[in-house]
Amino acid sequence: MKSHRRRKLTIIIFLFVGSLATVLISIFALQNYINHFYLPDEIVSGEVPLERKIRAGGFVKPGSVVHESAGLGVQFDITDLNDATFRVHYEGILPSLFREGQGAIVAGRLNKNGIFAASHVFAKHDENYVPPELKGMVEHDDP
Amino acid sequence: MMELLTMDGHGIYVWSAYILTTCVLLGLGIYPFIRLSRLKQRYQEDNELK
Amino acid sequence: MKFIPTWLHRLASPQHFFGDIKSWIMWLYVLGTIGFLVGSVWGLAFVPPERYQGDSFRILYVHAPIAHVAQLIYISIAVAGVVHLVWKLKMADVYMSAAAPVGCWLTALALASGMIWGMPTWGTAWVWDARIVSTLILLFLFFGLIVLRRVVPNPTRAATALSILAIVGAINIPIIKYSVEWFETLHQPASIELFGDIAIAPVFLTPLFINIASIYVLAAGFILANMRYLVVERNASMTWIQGWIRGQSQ
Repeated sequence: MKSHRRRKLTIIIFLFVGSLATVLISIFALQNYINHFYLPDEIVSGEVPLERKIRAGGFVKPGSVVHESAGLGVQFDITDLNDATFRVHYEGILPSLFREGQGAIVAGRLNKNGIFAASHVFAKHDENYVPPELKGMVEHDDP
Repeated sequence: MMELLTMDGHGIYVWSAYILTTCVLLGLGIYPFIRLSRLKQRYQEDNELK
Repeated sequence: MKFIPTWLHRLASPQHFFGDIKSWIMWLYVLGTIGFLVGSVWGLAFVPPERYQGDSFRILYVHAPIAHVAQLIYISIAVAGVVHLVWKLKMADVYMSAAAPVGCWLTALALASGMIWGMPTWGTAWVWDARIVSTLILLFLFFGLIVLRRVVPNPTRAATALSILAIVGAINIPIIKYSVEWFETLHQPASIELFGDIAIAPVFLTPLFINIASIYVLAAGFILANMRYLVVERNASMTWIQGWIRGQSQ
């Protein structure tokens, strides 16, 4: 390779790696400010601001889903599969993938009684794709 | 047959995704050839004017 | 650079490229179309539904291959940008302009099919999620590559500007790829890793691989067809183009 070409190539590689590093560092530094996402143990420990719009997520605790007798109201527990669990109240139609034992993300406000008043519920699906007849044969499946 | 169309209520989502994809792919494939024949026609007209 | 095979060397010349490429494009179109039809029919009708997602998971067979190829096209444009800046190869410049609209449409399709998929499964068409936002940025980068050519009148300068934008924007690609692992996203992590486990049951895999291969082949065909057009547009004064216009030769 001719020397001027090698020099150009080196400059390009340096610029690219430099700007990649800059962008990544800023994203990770800003993450604490832009991402109001909390895990169940953070909600339980009380380090979460009350009555502010936040997002939280975990697994829907099996057996905890209770539909209120009138209207669309529903309550359920979100757990990290360890000790931390918090109660969610939501009024609206749940996504079809929402089910006990599966991941869910809730958006809304945490009130002072420790109940999460959700304005949105999103069902998270995992990276596993399994046909119905093999249900239960995969790791972490159907706790 | 109806089952394949409705897909348990998911049919509208699945089919619209497939139809949209097919339309865009068709457009991407055909457009360069339409564009080229238009360009050729324009050059031919320019040549006739000269 | 002596070890370039002769056929590749031929294609680097606009005249030979134009003469040789049409039959390649046709073959790619035929192969890609058959593959895409087989893969899609297989995925739509001959595969069982997924245990939780039911039939809506069938969108995977268009969404995943298209999103994958769109990102790959961006990487290839960035590589062409490096080749253009360092070696001043004319075809690298042609490639960038030919591939940008294809990548742009595929990215838009990946976003659209993802939104359609999100409605029944996640319960929303749009969330400000790291994976989705970084893909939206990819779409804007493709817009930038297309617009830049039109706003910079000097072709040499336009090509340099395009190369720089393509290379700098490539930072976004690892962010798209790893966003699902680094951040709390609604989007699930990758199901297939090049050197890792596959989290998709074997029954579901064959149509997925057929469609991935087909979109590769089709995208290659689209890009070559666009390059063929651009070669004519940019070499209009050449005698061999003039001959083609008068209909003397192919």
